[in-house]
Formats: sequence, structure tokens, C-alpha cells
Amino acid sequence: MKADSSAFISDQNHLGILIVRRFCVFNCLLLQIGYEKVRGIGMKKRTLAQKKNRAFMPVIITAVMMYTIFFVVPALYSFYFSLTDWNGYSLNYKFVGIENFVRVFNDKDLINSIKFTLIYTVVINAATIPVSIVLAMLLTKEIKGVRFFRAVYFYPAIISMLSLGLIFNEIFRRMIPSMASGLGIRFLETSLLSSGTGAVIAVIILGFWQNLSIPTVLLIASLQSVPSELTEAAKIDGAGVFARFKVVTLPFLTSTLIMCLVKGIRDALVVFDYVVSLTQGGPAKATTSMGYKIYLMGAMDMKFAQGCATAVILFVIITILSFIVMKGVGRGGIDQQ
Amino acid sequence: MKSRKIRKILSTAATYTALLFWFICIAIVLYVTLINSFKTQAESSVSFIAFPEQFRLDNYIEVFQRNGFLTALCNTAFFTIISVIIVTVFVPAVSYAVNQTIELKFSKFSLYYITAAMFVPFQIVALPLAMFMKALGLGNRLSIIIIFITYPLIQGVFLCNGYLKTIPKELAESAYVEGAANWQTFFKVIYPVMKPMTATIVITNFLWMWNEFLISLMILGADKNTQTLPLFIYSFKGQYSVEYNLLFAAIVLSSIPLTVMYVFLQKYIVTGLAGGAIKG
Repeated sequence: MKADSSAFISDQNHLGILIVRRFCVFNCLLLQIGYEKVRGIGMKKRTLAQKKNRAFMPVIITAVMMYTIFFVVPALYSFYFSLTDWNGYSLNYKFVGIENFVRVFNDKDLINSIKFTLIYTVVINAATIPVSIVLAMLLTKEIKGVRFFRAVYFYPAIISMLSLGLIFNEIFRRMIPSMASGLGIRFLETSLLSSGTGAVIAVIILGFWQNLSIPTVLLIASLQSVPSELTEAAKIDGAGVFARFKVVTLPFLTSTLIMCLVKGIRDALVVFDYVVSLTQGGPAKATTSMGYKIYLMGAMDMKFAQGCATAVILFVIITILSFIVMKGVGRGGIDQQ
Repeated sequence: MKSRKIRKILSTAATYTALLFWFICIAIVLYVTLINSFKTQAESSVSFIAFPEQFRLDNYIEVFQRNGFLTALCNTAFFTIISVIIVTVFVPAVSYAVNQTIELKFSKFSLYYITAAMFVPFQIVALPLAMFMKALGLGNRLSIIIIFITYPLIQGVFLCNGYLKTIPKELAESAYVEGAANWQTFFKVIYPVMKPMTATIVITNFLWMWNEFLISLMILGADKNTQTLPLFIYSFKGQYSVEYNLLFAAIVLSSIPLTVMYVFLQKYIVTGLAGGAIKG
């Protein structure tokens, strides 16, 4: 495993310095425009609103600047470099248009990694959302020990994904096979991580184990906002459990569900930590997620431009899916604003 | 009457069975981690889940003696605490400033501009950002802290803006009438009212910063002096991949701070996270 020697983290980063310098000039201009606007207000007799602007503008400008420098510009450069053939550390590069995208889509590894990422995303969300609804409903029942269960159920969200990946790695690689051979269960004796499909399943199990926590907690909170008179009334009218859920409870959960789904899709599509720690993308690249692929290309394989192109593809996928979820599922629901 | 009673008992039993099942799924993973951190490797290879003959602290002592653990712990604590303190004031302040001057085109633009990145994956900035940070020459520590301050803005401003809309305008105006200056009004009147949202922001960001791996890996790389806990654990795995007992001890040690926090502040953490969802 090599956590080091990223190409562009080396000292021969002349190009980077050049770009940053050019960019700093642009930022100084922006800053000047911003502050001049504030000062311009100061010339006449100030009203309350103008005083306000004068006091608040510097903070807003600072935030916008930080966000621009450290988020927007790198993002734009990602788009820009995806159209070049820069390898991450050389002095020259040239503009190659969409060649990277063509190359990336002809790359079998990348197609596989897109496939794996999409499968992981779909399975994880299809599994966690319904199960967390069930768990949340169980955890809002008035029975003894509910607080304890809630506390334990949320705990996985606290642990780092990296640590969990390493823990599950030992569990899948050593614990389960050794236990299975002790008990004489044949098919579990070989580690899940040794076959491609098995490794995919292992990553999904790990993701499910941890990602169940947050939707459950959020859904508990929104279940508690359902007025109990409504459920009581439906009960008296003779509605069964499922009918009650569908008609009375579900509309109150819609916005939370959409939020969980959007967040779940985003988190699953950028999965990185699990893959690095649990499978390292293997065996035979079966679990190389897009997030990991981008890291490998940019920081290890000196394919900076192709890494950026992959990142752009990931961005497009996330945008499309989030949009579909918000538009498609986002209809109806009482608590929507 | 009787059948209803039986049904109730059955449903309670089913509830407990389901809850216990998932409880065991969670507990077994935690148990395996904890128990094996006390064992020697020989003991673990006999049985992963049996109790050790005696609880030895050898693994923990060795992790502490290994190069880098204490440095990593201090670094993580330093980055997280400094950044969280700044974020706690900065994010609400920015949101309030935007909220108060929202008639200005620039403010309105800033609001949409910053929150537009909500669904943009970090991976898209990862590669150029690492290059940038190196080129700016701010040093590893400052680079990480700047990123830890900037990125919470995206979600934080969105959440705070939603929350500020629910606070009546009269509250700030009455303070103005009494003669308080703009920022005085914020710190004395508005900031206390925003406490629930601030708590949400502090908690989500604390968890994120403490466990953050990808950014640290890209920015800090292999520099031993500025290593964070996740990087330490990761390198640990690489160096001593056979010594999984030590690995477990390192993992347990690194998650103790958050676990202690969780035990004592559980109520706030859970409601804080849920608060973000409901108001957002």
C-alpha cells in the first residue's frame, strides 16, 4: 500500500505555481470590486441599510472568496484539465478536446468501475431506506429499552469509515473463514474477499452496516412529528397497518426520505474509504469505485487529465440522479415547503 | 379481548426480536474489535471471538510507543478543534450577513453561489485542489485548516439560512432601535437564538473532520509530522499488516475520543443531526 508519492505533491510543480499566480491576480480584482462597492456607499450620508451593508459585506466577501479559491476554481480546473493531456507534473501540456472522455469510455477498467459504483449505489439505497423505515417505526414504539437501542443503533455513524473497513477486512478475511471451518460450513470457508462478486457483496454489507444509522435517526425524528390523533383516527376507521402507513405516515416522511435518498446516493457514488480499506479495489479491480479510480489515476498512475475526466463523469452522474430523485420522487408530501 | 392481548404480546415479541437482531449485528463487530485488541496474535488465531485468558494492555502500550501515534492524535485534535471553533462562529456569521443584506444583488448571488455546491462531489475538486494547495505553499497545517473552514460553508450556510428565516425580523430590529451595532446584535441577540442550528453544524463537522481521510491523504500525503489519525491507521495497516491485534488496538484508541463524546452528549448529537434534516 502506498499512501505517498503523489505526482503533483512533489516539488516540481512549476505549472501549478504558474496557474495559481495567474489566478491570484484575478482574485485581487474581485476583492477590489467588492470593497469598492462597500466604500462607495460610505460617501453620502448613510441610512440604516447602508450601514448594515458596510458592516456585513466584508464577511460575505471573505466567505465568497474562500469558497471561490478553494472550491470553485479547483472544480473549474478539473473541467479544464479533463480537456488536456496533462500528466500531473510535466511543464507542458496541450489541449486535446474530448479525447480523454473517448479514451476513458473505451477503458474497460473504467466501465467496470462505473458499473460497480452504480450497483453499489442502487443496492445500498434500495436496502437501507426501507429497512431504516422499519427500524424507525419499531424504535418509536413505546416499549422498554427503546432509548438504549436508539443509542446503539446510531453508534456506527460515529466510527470512521476507514477503521470500519479495516475491521471488516479482518472479519471477512480471518474470522468468518476460521469460524466456518470450525463449524464445518463449507461455502464460507473461503474468504468473501477472494472472489470478485464476493468482494462486491462485502463492500455492500459494510456500507449497509454503517449507513443504516443516519436515515434511521432522521426518520425517527420525522415519525415523531406525525400527529397521533391522525393514526388513532385511522385505526378507529379500521385501517390496517399498511394502509395506515401509506395514507397517514408516509406523507409526513416524504421530505426526510428525499433528503436521505439524495444524501445516500451522493455518499454511495463517491465511495472511497470503504474500498481503500476493505478491498483496495480488488480482487482483479472488481471493487474499484469511481472515487478510488479518480484517486488512482490522478495521484498514482500519472493520468491527471483522465482522472479529471472521470471526476467530470462522476459529477454528471450525481447531478442527473439527484435531479431525478428531487423531481420524480419529490411530489406530494405534507411537510414540503 | 383475549385475542387482542395475545396479539399485542406477539407484536411486542416480534419488535424485540427484530431490534435484538440488528443490535447483535452491531454489537458483534464492536465486540470483535475490542476483544481482539486485548489478545495476542496466538490467542486470536485460536478463536476470534473467545475471551482472552487475561486482559493484557500490551497492544495498547505498543501502539503508543510506535512512532507517530501521539503526533497523529495531537494533529487530528489540533486540526479539528481549531477548525470547529472557527466554523462555529464563521458559518452563522456569514449566514446572518447574507440574511441581513439579502436585498443586495451581491448577497443574493452569494447565497445561491455558495449553496449551489451542495451536490457537487468532493472528487471533482480533489485533484486540482491538492495541486493548488501545494503550489500556494501555505504548508500542510494551514492548508488542511483552510479546507476544513471553507467546506462546511456549503451546507452550513444553507441550513443556517433556512433557520434564520424562521426567526422573526423584529428581534433584530428591536436591538437596532436600542442602539446595538450590527455585529453586536448578531452576537448578543441572534447567535444565542441560533444555538440548535449551531449545534448541528458543530456536530456534523466535528465528526467529519475527525474521521476525514481523502482530503488528508491528498494534501498531507506521507508527511509524518502532520499525519492525522486516519492516515496513521492506514499506514499502520500497510506496515504491519499481519499484526491485526495492534491494528485493532489502534482503531479502538483512535475512536475513544468520539465515543466518550457520544456517550455524554448523545442526546445533543442525535437531536443535532436530526435538526439539520428537519429544518433543512
